[in-house]
Amino acid sequence: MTSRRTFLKAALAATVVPRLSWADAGSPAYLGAAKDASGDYVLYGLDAQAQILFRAPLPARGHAAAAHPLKPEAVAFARRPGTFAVVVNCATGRITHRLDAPEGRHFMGHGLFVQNGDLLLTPENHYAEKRGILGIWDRRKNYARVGEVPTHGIGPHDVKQLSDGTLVVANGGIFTHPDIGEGRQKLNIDVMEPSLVYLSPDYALVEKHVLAPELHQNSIRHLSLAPDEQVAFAMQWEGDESETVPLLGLHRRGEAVVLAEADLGEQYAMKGYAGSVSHSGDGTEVAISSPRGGRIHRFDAGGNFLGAVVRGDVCGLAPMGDGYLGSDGFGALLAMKEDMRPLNAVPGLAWDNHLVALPELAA
Amino acid sequence: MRRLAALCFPLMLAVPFASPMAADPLNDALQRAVNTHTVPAVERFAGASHALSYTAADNCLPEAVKPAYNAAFDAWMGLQHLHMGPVEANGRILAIAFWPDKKGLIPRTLSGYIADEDPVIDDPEAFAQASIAVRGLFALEYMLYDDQFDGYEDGSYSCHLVQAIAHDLGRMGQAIEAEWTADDGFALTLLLAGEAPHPLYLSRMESVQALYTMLTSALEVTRDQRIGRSIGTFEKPRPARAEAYRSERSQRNVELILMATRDLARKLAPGEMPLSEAAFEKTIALVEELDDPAFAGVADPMGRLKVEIIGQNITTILGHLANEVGAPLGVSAGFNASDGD
Repeated sequence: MTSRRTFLKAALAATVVPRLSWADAGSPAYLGAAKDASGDYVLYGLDAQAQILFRAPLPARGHAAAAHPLKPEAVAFARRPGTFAVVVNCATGRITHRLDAPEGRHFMGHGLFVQNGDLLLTPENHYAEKRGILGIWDRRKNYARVGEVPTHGIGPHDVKQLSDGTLVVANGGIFTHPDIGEGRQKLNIDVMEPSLVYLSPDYALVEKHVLAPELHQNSIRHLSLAPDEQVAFAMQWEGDESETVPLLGLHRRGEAVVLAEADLGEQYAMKGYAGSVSHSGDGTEVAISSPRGGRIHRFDAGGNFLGAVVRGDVCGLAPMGDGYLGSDGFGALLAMKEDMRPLNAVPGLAWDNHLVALPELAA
Repeated sequence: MRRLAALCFPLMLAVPFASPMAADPLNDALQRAVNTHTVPAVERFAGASHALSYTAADNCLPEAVKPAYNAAFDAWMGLQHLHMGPVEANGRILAIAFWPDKKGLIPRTLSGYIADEDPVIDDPEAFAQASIAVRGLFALEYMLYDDQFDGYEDGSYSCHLVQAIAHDLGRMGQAIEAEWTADDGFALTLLLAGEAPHPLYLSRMESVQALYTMLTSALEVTRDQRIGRSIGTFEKPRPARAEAYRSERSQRNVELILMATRDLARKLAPGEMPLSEAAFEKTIALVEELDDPAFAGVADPMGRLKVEIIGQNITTILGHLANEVGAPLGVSAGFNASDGD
């Protein structure tokens, strides 16, 4: 039943929010979730020089955010296997909606606005049926859940959209259940099969790539799109930790996947874990971060290793200039390329896994 | 008591202005750890690896090289936990100690070099770029201790290969020392943090954080890899996965790491660390009592249990270190590193 109060709230939201644009939130260039010195979880908006423009409190630890292409709205997701997400009005700092995953499904920490921001897609595990789906939410209907489509793999984690509307999904391959091991215990490591999947704008499967059998435990987790639409995917190795495997894949539709790795010594130092992936600001190269290995690895567009930049606990990566903006668990925001230059350091702040660059354009 | 505290409070506030020499626990910890832990460790490995290099040059045969080899390995166990700066630059850490070698790359690559008599061993600069599978302490362990390789004669290709590996280790040891202790070296990068000639850490807090992370991850790796790999599962223990079992150093390496990490913990600790001290002492005693140099005993349930218990004691050490060293310094393991997604 709609109470008078919620009705008024909805009416207010409907009349006030549509007039706002990202300029009303200070025109942020990046969004990042963090834990601040007092232990609170916060979504921050950053300008192009990584200075803080706004902060919006979150109810729990965040993972990544989805930014609306036009409106100053961000959807912040609870960490995997979260069952809720919140819509934050970045101009006011207020939470305007709460999204609850339907029964039997949980979020993976990422999401993407499509169709000029009218729809929000959320990678989810349908744990009751052991399959991955994209949940579809309609912003025009107060973020009502309006459907879901299969991702043709288990554990979809990240999703991006090409300019022709094609969706690309990273199916991590990992099955978890909210009732087992706090929902983060991996239950199918022996038989996991991660994949990179392309879906048409109306969600039909058009292309699916799986890794070679010996790499079936290399979970495809995070995606970056170059300006020329090269897809980069970052992986996390679930196999024997003494083995070194590539942690970056590069792909163009219709072509073969290129797996990229550094020399053995550097590859070992990544500890089988890439936390984030981003193309450089000029799109000529791509980097992956390893907070466990305390470094980022840079590669050219052909997958050739360019070098490492050492920085403890570095994880968030986003395009900046002709290089990257990196964030870490010690509160630092750094311009990174051949070396690094601190842009902002907030003592006591711990940046979470990802930085989101705006506008994350969606068709 | 309460009144005294109230009186003291304004005085304490005034201290930083009145006395620039006021105690700074974080900076003191950093000075102690860098100057009395890291620098001696770097110097010791440089000396021991250099001695290995000239010993092998003088006589390449296994029995002549082994004492210097073990001394160099001992020195490495006092340094290998410092995965930072010059130790990890250019993939050095793996070039010095390529372990675990799960796919058996070392014996395969060594055999290939020996069969082909690859001339790269005659050129130290080229050898420095050679596969890490034919370099470092574990390649040398095969040459000196493994039946497949240790029967070589003076003047043979294998003899020159041993000399090349020893020389390369000496070269890396000296390079690490030079880069660590230079006027603009890594010791200053740690000590001066943001004001260092080559800044890597933005603040002294970050330098201390990095050293603390080295301390805890060395113990975790020792528990999870050095011990974990060899004990395997109860049904399937894996003695042939023990570190450096060919040279019967598995037990000694664990003991040396415990001593090295205890020293680093003592240098970092802003105060007493009685619980950590007791846990280190107990764990080191358990290792010494093992009398199982190659961890061969893990094949037997009782022997396996003894090694497993050492791993459990390392977990206890880690808990006490968090309370007695990490918490008072205000540092902990990385936010993203410890809990990824």
